[in-house]
Amino acid sequence: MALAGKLLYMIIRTLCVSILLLFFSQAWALKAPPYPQGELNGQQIAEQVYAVSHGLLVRNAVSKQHGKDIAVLVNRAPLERRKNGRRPIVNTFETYGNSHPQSPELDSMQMAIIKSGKAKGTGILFVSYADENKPGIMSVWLPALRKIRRINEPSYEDTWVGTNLTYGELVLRKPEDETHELLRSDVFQDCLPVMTLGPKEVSRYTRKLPDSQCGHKGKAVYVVKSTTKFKNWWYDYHISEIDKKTFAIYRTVYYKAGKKIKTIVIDWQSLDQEDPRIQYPRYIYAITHDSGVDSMVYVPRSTIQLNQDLPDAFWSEATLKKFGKR
Amino acid sequence: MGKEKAPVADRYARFMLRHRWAVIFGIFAFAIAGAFYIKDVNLRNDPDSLLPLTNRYIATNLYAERQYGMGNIMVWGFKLRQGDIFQPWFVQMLDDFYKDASKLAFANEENFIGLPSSRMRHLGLSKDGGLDFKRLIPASGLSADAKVREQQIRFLKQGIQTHPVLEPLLVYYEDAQGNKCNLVDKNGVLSNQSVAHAHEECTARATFIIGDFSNGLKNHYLDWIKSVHELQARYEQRYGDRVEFIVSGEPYFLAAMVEEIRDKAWLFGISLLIVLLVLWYEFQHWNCSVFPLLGVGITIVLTLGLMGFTQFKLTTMMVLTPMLLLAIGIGHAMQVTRRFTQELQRNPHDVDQAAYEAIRHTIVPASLSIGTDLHGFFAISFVDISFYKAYAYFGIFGMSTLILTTTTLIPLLMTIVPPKLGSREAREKPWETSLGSAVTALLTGKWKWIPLALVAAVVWASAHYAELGRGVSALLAGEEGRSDPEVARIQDEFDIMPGAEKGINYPRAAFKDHYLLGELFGNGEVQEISDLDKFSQMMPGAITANMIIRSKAGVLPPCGSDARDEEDNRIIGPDKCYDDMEDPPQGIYNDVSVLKALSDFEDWLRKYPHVGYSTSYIQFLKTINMMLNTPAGEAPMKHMNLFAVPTHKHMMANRYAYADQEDPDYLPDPTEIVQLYNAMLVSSSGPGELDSFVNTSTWDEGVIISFINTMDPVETHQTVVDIQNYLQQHANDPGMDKVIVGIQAGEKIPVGTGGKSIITEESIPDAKAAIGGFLGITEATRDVAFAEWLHAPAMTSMTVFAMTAIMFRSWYIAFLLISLCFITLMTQYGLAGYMTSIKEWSANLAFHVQVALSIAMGLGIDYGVYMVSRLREEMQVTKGEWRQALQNTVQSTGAAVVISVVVLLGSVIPLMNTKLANTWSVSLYVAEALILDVLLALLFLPLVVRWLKPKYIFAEKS
Repeated sequence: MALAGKLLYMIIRTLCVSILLLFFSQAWALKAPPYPQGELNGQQIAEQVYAVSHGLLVRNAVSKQHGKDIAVLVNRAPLERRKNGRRPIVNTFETYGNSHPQSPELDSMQMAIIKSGKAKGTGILFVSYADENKPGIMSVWLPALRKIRRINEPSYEDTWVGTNLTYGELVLRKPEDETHELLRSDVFQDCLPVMTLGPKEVSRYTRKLPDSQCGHKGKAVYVVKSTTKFKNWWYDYHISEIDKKTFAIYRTVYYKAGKKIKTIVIDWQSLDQEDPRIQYPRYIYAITHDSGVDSMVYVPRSTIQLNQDLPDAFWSEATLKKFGKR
Repeated sequence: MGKEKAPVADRYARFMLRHRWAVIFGIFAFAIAGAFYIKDVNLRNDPDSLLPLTNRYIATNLYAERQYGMGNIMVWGFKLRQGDIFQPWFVQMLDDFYKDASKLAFANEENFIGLPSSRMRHLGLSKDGGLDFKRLIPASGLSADAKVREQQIRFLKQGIQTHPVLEPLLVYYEDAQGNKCNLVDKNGVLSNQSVAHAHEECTARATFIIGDFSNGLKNHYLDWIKSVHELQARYEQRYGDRVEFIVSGEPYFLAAMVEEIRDKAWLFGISLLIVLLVLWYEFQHWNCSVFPLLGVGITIVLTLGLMGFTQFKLTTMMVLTPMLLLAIGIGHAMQVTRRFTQELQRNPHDVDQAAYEAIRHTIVPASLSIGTDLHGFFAISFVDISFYKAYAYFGIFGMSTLILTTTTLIPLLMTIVPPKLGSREAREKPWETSLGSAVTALLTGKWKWIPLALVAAVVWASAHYAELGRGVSALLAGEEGRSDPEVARIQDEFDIMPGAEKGINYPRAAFKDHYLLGELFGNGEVQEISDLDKFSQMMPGAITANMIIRSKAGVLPPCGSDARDEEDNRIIGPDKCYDDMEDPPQGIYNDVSVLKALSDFEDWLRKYPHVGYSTSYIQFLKTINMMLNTPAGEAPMKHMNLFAVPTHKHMMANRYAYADQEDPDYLPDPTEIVQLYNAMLVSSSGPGELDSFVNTSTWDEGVIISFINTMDPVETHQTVVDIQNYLQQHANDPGMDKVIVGIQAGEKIPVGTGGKSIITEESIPDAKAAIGGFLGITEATRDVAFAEWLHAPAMTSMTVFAMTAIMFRSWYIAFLLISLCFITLMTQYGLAGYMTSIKEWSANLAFHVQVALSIAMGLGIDYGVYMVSRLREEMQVTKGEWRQALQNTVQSTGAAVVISVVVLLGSVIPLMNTKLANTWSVSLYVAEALILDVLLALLFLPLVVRWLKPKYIFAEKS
């Protein structure tokens, strides 16, 4: 009978998380902090990480198909459900992020367009407001229905586009939602893992997924423990390893009741900007340890453009319709 | 026969005496080794492993669990004694309980559902007019601030009362008189009137938490159920004065059965005590009482040890095996002990001679007797039901060891520790002499018709309750009678005794509703059943029916990396492989005509009186269609007409919702819409989550799950038949013509984790659809019962007939003895008919009861065999004096038979006082049969022998 509940949950989530990639900016009234000097505490490091990962350091950012290169999102089922030959679910997409809209009421605007498969042409526009008390609005263009639907912003614990990542982790969570403690400085020792596909899982898009990244080995990192302030939350704390120079967060491990439950790694790469903190996440790989569910996002460098000359009106329902017209 | 076998018996006796220490040590060594394996007994109690996997119903259920999961569902109910569920303390308690329950061992937390679930969202509009999906209860629980808490409770109430799918499942409404208020009307539809009645005139009195657990708990039932009890007790202690806690579910039921066996293990001690008292009464010597128990105990230890060693998957019904071994073994032990004491009376100082004579004289009859006992087990070993096989294998093993542990071991032990005998052992006891005199007087006097009349009355009553007359009439009605569906059914199933229901009510087959021991100590109500009854009354359904939907055509395989060249150009075309990013979607779940046909089927299911609720992927589609097409700014729940598959016809009828304002002539393409919905659902759900409903790899198969609101065996069968008939009648409808429902015959289905697979067999007439879930298992069980209710006893009777014919070298005697068995069998069918007539579903003729028919036949024939043998012997001794021969027979063998049956009843009566229905019912049928067998052997058989004068007995005189 729990199936019935699951059914409704799925429907609900379909609507509230059918937004694709909010990678590059999500300012939430926070503005880019200056490059820090001197010794930092856990809170200061967390604020820097937030600025880096939420794109506060650029005006706008675009990930757009370039030739045959396009951003890809790959989700795999739990281990026990992976039958022989079962293919991962793949989506390709373009994203358009605006971290500094001209209207003072607006805080940021994001747009994503699905570029392949049955949902091809579906577009999502997410607008967040400078007033922290005003919730964001998500508009979804449904090409088969020729219709725009508006949906309220998702919750922290809602999962993101069928992955094992939550909106809280990627977008909504702010530094003040957690208590941050600098545990130590260290040297990053490992290669960053990637989704390892079996021969029958490989398809046209997944064969282009990158190999494990070992280039961050030997980099100096902060090790920070962040404890949630929310009651009865899905994790108790997480431990992150953060590049001391770029504030790129390479690895985050979540714990609940002392048990490791999820690991997220991000291969941050430089965009050759003056500020070393301006980077892009070449890939994100997240694995849930109990079930083996894993997800990977891959953004080829060739698809990325920064600070494009785009008016605020570009982030509109009209653009969604234009991009998504069948 | 005796002369030929005597030397063998002599040699055997001498050999055993010569090597007595080796034999004794050998037996004890094996017993000790066996004892070490008892802890490994795999009391898995898994009904899924009971039936043949090749059965299409079972294979469908297996396939559904393997592909779609949700095999171990638990339900907790919380019914308020006063007020409604929308009270802060109750909501907080519910939230806490939910969190604690989802932390239980083996819990699949992501599949839990209840008001505190993160899946429970508001389906409405926000202040800004956007669609709103907030959690009904905040993730961090209710606020400490009273005002905020009040708002949160109001939001919860509003949220659940505008939830068309989950409200009927999770909230129970009751009127002032305590009657249930249904949210759906008589047609199974949520109407404005029915919903308004529940909301406005009734009180939300209870709510439920539904949990799912992994199969791992089957190896840890006792620890798991202990934690479930502790959880409930903790909350009952704090809230029990305000809340009634109810619990049920398949894993809970199965674990409770194992727990009951452990908790009532002391009853086994009572059985042993009864047996010890009988032995003491019979022999008046401690070693004559203890050695038989020791010998039988070794057999039981060896048998349990073998169960542990082989890791055979067992059910709680196997508890009957040690009890039967005790009962039968003690009978043999008494025979050899009695013989030993008699021989020792003759030669008081020669224990070796006494042992020799005891073994020599009892080994052949014991072997023959055990041989007949084994027939019942042998016959059921061929039935493809795992617990039948378990009964058979371990019964055969245990019975066979009795030759060593009783007939051989006891005399050997007595040579080492001999009893000190007086003169009384040689004499028959007064009651034995009285029995002989009374029975002889009855059977040779003018009242001799009384036993005959009694037998006739019992047979008539049995035929009456089993409705033999109705069965025969239906069979004789021929083709003309088939217009009556019941006559057609009786003919098709050869149900010659339709009064004895063969279907099964699984919960009642597991537990009784009341039990005697409980009544004696206060409360005899079985909580597992009373809680289930409450759930059945409060919730939409207690058991599931799964319809596996697959396409007839199949799909192309996905394109591999070889489908494109280095420059990404496609080199294997769309006719050979499928590229999901580029090719038109494939699979029946992307076909709007199939989705509409399945939606119609589900609508029919929801209207069916025995279906309380259903769910499937179609509900996803219909809900998302409603949510996305409701005009902006309006509440989706006000547009339930859009809760539909968006066919062209539907869109034409609801144009206001689908028309494009910029292009008035435009209507969306139905196929494109459903494909978009599929894409949105799959890319927006957690990995693997949709897999509970549809195969997202192929989009070519899925499952419809319905909840059945009855467990009555007749109604569950009718439900299966009606679903199958619907599918047959609509097989050629648009959409339905592209699908097959359930697993078909000849399919290869993977089972277990080791790459094993089975090929299904055609087990359903007319190739009708196989249904999974507990309804399917129930129907499969009924099919097996119909296949075996006559077949297994017939097989047993054939082997028993052959065995007795060989033993006595007389067809006449064999025919006579098997006739007695048939009388007993008829009374068992009559008992089943009676139980059916009073709807006592713990003891109708379901498959778990049928095992008793064969076992009882094998055991019961012994009494007739003993009586016939002794009558022949006494006729020779008395030179044909029938009256004297009869008296001698009854007061010796007859008395021994009576003692045997007393021991057997002493063994099984404690077993009948647990809450478990299956052991109770099997014990009941075995006990009924054996009592009747004894009465027939004592009071009926001699009469028939006297009238028919078979040469085997009367040969000397003639």
